[in-house]
Amino acid sequence: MRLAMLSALTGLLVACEGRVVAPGGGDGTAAGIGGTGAGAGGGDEITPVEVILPELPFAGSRAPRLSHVEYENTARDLLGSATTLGLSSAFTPDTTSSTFTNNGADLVVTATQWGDYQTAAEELARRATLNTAALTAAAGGTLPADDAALVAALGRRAFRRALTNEEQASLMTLFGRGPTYYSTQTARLAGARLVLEALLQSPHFLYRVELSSGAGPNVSLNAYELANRLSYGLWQSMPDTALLAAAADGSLLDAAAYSAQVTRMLGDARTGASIQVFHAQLLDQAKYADITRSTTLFPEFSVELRESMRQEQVRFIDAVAIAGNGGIRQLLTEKAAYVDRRLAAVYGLPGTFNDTYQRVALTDGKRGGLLTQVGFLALNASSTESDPIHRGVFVNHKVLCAPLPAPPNMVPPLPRGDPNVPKTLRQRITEFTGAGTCGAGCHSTMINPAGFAFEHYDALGRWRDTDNNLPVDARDSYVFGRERKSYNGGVEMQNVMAEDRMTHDCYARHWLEFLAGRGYAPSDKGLIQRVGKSSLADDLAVRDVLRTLVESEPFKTRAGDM
Amino acid sequence: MIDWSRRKFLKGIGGVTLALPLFESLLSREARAQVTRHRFLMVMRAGNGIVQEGGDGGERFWPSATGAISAATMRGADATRATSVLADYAEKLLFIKKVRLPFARNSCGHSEAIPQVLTAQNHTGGSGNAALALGRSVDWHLSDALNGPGQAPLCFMAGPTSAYITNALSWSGPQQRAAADRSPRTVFMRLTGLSTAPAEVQRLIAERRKSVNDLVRGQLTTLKNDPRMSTKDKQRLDQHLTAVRDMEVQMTCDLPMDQATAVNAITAPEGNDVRADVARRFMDLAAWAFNCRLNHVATMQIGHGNDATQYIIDGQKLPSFHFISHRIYSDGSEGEAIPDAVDLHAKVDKFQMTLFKHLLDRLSSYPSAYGGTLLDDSVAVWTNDLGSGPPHDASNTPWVLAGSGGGQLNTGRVIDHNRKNVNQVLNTLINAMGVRKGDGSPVDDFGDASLAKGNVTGALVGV
Repeated sequence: MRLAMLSALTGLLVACEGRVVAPGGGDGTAAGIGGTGAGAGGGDEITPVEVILPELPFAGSRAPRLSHVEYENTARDLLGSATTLGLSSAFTPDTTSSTFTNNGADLVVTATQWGDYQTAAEELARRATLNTAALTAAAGGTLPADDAALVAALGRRAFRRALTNEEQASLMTLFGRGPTYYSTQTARLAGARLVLEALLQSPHFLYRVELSSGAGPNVSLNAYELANRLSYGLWQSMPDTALLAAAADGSLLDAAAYSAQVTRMLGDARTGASIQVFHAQLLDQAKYADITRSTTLFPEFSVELRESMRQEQVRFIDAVAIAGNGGIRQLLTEKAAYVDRRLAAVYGLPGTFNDTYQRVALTDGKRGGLLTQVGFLALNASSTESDPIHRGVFVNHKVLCAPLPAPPNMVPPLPRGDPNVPKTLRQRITEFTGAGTCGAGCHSTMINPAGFAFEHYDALGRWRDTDNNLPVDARDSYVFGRERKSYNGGVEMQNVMAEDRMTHDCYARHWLEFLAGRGYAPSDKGLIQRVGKSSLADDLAVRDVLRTLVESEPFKTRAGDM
Repeated sequence: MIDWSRRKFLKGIGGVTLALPLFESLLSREARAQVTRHRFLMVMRAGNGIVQEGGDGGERFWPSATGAISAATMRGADATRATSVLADYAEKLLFIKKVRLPFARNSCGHSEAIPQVLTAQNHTGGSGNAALALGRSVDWHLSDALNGPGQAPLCFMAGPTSAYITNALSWSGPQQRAAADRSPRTVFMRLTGLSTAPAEVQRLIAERRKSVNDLVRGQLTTLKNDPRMSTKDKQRLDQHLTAVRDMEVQMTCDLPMDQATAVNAITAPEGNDVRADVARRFMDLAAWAFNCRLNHVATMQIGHGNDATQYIIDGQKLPSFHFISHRIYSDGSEGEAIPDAVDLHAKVDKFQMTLFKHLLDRLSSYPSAYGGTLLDDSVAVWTNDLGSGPPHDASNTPWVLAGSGGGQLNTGRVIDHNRKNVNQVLNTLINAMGVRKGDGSPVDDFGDASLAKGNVTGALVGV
């Protein structure tokens, strides 16, 4: 029976640009070759045993560049500022090939960027040496009396490691020249300013350098490298004083001490900020600013609604995942909205609302979870119609990590159809891309079933029961790994996804990429498998996922030089 | 040797509010187009025509014969001609006589001539500033290719801000008059990002940055050479290192101090008596900008449309040049005669050639990255939107070219274009800048589509 089922499935998916994979089977985790899904056919099915994959050390760049978010946060923490300083807003935006902007191996320093760095470094150095108090903050809260110790302290914080003797000597030379260039400042502030200018333009500041090496398959990072991985993973910023101290005395290499640091850092607001950044990038939040609708067709739309969409998502994530300590299951199923008067109008909520956001429990079964929020729905829609194809692609890529191939180069527009024969958008898409058409391979099995679930939401995300005066059909099914699961509507589909390994594996995979500051690598499969499995079985909160990942052996090591 | 091809230069971004003068913050974010060789174009324009055959004063501008020219003949038999001033550059010159501006000038001979010069397009018609070119000018076209899309060419005007006919040489698009800078000082500040800080302060900034860069460069080099780095990491670090080197070149690519001082000295650039000086300063800046790869294309209009500058030549302040070109003390057709007007006009022509020679001197003062001088990589152009004083005709406008665009032009000769249209000259300039059609063939179709295609016969090497 199992063989017969696999054969049928394979045949179906071969049409998907020739790939012989199940929707979730690209990386060999739960939904793929080691999947746990039960067969869909019933009868004498054989429950497959999940093959436990090895957890391999991290591979990748030894010098990933700081992302602009990381730069901004690092500058804030280095200067001891309560808020970010905004200097990176003038930087040229980065482009990376993966989901997140912190894929350091893709980030380069062009002439333009170098100019930006130089400008920002000089400004940061100026601010850090405005007076003794500012310099004390830059030195980590205590101002050494000795100039050499001051340079060492500044260097340790900027490089996130102890300076070498050679580096210390070079910087002391610069320190001595400071008064030549900043004659209106005290010699100490002037020297520190020039030293900071050099530190902040150094590759050891701009890159997260990892030089630990060895012949074995696993090479342990040294304590400073580990501290950097941890802080840039959880905080998108430099290690704080306590973490640097634990690196300096080597205690961070002790598993218990390391876990204690992780616990401390997970409770810090900077981890919450990272959780927000992660979801903002995963959900393409920045694109909300480009959403436009005709106010004739959609009178609820206004330019201000864009920010309301973003605010709802931020508040939802905060309530569910940060303050509420939930995980991906809750993010997909929580039945609450955070609305101002603009969003309330789109949602058709009864009651009185103003510009203040308030939590509203969603009890009518029409909404719940991230994917029935206006932001996701309106972003993945045309100016007049819902867009099941892009909604479906998003779910496949971002929620399920299904290996969709790239679309063909020349995608013809969807035919308008005969105006005398009214049809729903779903019907038109099905005729064009469904079974028996050239788009059947990907669309009918992966994209359309995921997108059609959200057909009750129009181009702005408003609920609708009809489309083109015909009843909306939001029922469909999707093969999760090896199991076909049915649902009716976006809420049900999210409920289904919340209980499927494919979703949990995908969420773990995204977090692994984000924490490591790099793209996905096949060697990540083993770790993803373990974390995804635990996320589903143990109902892990986001912070639990983070802890599991950063306490894993792969996170603490890198592949050896074999 | 600097690898210029990897450089990215930038124009001002504005909005950066930092305490120090910053060179880099004002550099453009547009990557320059990838070119195999850097070439530069500067076009200078004068008004009111010249004294040449077909006018009222006989031939007093061009060498006496078409064909090859030499320094010897220019200094000898043709010593009285205005172009003799350029004898030092004889072998690098290309004179193109009798170039026609093709479209009718029914309202005002000046207003409706200038817009055609670099566009080879018709105009909207009208006197004063009403006449607008119906197409983009060649400087903008070439800027896309040589600077990269998004970076504007330099556009200068030695002249007043407001006038009967203001700047009308450069057009960023149909009916889109390009803004022209009047102040060399402003241009210099913008190109360098310098504040009004004194020179000593600026020197200290450059020195301080060099100290920092020396340290950073060493660290980058060490990291890049670390055997543990992957090939991709090495490539990224090498790119960073190149960026640092490029910026160092930028920091050291200073305008010579005497020129910077002269630029800084002009505080009222629109005045009559500094007009020639302003023109020279703009030429200084163009040559310097070319050398530093800040821009590859520049235009400069000297005087407004019907240039009324009272040129000061050999200590003598002449009447309004427009009066001189009319031979009367009037901008119209009635007025007291200027007895020696033709001589004065010829004197202005010669003065214009001395101005043009200043540009050639400046371009020649910078070494080329490919051997020779920057002039060899460039084409410097002087033209006039009218043929002669009276009768303000436009079928025989003069084009004086110098430099070969890196060997693209057949120089050292006079070519009679025989009243064919200006579009063929503009095609020639485009080709001289190394720009070709998509299939590699020479460009022959710039300007209005109704004009006969082609290039100036004999001007281009191999065409």
